[in-house]
Amino acid sequence: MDELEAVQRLLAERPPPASDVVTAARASLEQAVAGPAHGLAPLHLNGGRYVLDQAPVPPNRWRRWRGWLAPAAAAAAVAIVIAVSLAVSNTVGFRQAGMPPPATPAAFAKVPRYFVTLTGKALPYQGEHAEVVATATGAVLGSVTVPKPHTVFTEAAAAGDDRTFVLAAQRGKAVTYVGGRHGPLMYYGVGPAKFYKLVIARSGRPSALTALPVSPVTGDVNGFALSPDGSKLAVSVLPPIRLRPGRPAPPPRGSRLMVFTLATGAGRDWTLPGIGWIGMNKPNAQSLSWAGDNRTLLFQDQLGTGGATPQIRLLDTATPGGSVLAASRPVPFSAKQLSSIGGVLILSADGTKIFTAATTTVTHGGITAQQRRSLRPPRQCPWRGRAAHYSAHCQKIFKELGKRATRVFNQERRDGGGSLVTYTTYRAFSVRTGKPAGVLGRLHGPGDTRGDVNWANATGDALIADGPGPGSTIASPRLAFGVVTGGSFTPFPSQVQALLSMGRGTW
Amino acid sequence: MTVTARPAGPPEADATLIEQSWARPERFAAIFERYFGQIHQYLARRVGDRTADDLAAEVFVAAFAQRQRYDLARECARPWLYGIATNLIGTYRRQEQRRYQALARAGASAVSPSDEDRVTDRVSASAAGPALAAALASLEAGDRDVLLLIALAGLDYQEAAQALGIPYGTVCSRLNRARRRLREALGGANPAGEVTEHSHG
Repeated sequence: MDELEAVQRLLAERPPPASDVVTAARASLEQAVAGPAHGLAPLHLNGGRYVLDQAPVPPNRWRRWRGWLAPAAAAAAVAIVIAVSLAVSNTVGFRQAGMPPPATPAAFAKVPRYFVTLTGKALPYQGEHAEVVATATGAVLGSVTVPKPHTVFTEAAAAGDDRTFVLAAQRGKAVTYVGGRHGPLMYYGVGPAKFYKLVIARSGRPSALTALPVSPVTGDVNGFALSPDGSKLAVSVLPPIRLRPGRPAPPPRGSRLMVFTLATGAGRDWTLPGIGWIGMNKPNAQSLSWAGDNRTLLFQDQLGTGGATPQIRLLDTATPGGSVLAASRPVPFSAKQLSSIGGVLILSADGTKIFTAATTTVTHGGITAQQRRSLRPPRQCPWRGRAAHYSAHCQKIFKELGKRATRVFNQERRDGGGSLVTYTTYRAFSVRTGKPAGVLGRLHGPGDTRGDVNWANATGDALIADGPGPGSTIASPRLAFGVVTGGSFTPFPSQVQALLSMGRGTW
Repeated sequence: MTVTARPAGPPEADATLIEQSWARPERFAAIFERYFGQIHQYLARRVGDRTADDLAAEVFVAAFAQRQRYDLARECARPWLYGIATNLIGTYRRQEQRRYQALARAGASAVSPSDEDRVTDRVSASAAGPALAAALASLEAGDRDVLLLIALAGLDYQEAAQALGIPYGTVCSRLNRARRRLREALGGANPAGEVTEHSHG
């Protein structure tokens, strides 16, 4: 036995991580996937409680849109069920002081009755089954399984009638799964994507899937949106990536945006010239959004190697195809605004506004470092989430203080008024100016939990949104899903929270 | 409409998944699923279970943030992830040192029963354990990183070089130095305190 073996024996193998550890780690990663923190001004605290601020509502014609769930929650499923169950039983914690209790049925009556969620052993937001769920209760009204020879549904989009959905199905590629709820394997979609129509009957039960007369789309679908009238499907696609061992990958080129007329299968095709891709740096095909005219399409693109230059543009889908840049116009967001609105973007029905959620995390406290036996005042290193202790700023302070530095890590207090608070603002932006055009609502809570708008109604006075949930902490971030209306956040019942935390919902 | 799910070919290369995650971040989940267990194991062996629980999560968050700087010519992401893990351990040097010191003391059953890792049983099985732990603690951090990437993570020299971003030759020299220090600290004795059996034909 040599030194290496002796070291192996000394630092003996440890048991595999417990499932809750894997779950929490997956939640941290999914939080990161949800996007960067946004740069909004800090809001007030209210004893660390879960608060929604009343806000002016911008005018907006009726519309309904597919939703996207901020991807934090797959990991926090059990916790969120418990937390939100508690919250529902004590809604005072969700309201601004002095406001009347929200009428839960009234709030839920303002949003679509049904949503579709993908379930089964697949990567997050894909699934072997599409389940139709009652928004107000979480009751699963029916389910369809992916048709052969496909393995997984990979995308879902909803029309504005609350009954018509389109699903993308692909064959599945297996990856190993550590400690997951689905066993050792899970799947994600590869190969051509075939599209199916799903219609929900008045009873709420799903009909059989109908194959759409659209040729299967090859490539990596990263944008998927059904027009409000259900007549057109927009799909953005990344070209297949071909890697050669030992050689660097070519820069991404040839990203396409296609719009199909579902009745005939006819399509138009636009291509992004140069290096870059269509689709925001966000999961789940949320980069496309239709206006109520069923013609104007919002898309996001990332130009340059590594997507260095993001843009948000409006495409006139009546143009014959060609360069997507030539056929579209940019929304004049400043670079700073673009960096702060990286979440789901929903184009208003009249095409004049963009609804989105912006999140910022604010430091309360941080890391205090002081040299032992020194009379110099302690140095403060701002808290930047769990990464603070190895941030360059902190490291510089510690280096300056030398080996005798002591570090005091501020602890998040149980009332949430401690180190880190997440502020989410549901906001409207002007398409013409790119500037803020109103606040739809605000929500904040302890811990680092980002939020998103998943659906908006005609006037913007009812949103399906998610944001920091009760009981959220730095170590255990939790999202809550609910309806923002009348200045209140009404959380969905625990059954809905559980479903949405396991996968995304499409309204 | 039912389907029997089955693997549809060999798993995707890490580099492919990482590049796909540039535009479809959820693809990074596959990297997490593939390697979380390994990375956690490595960290737990170096800094203890409790710290590893947090650090392993941070490894993947950091990796996700850096994914667009990943060298796509490298199909396997293991060295990259172990490199990130090793860098993060750098902020826990004191904790790691305390762990080695605890291991060094454990020969005399000095570790408290409440110690999360309950190292006593493990170390007492090896008479040379305390000395080995003390020697590990005395190594230069860079030397120890190379040694443990190879001994615990099972990386080869080239992978260790990739993980730490250092030349191949530096890996060799650091490993040699680390092994020599361990041998010297142990007085040239068999570090495990055991007799190595040789078969004779």
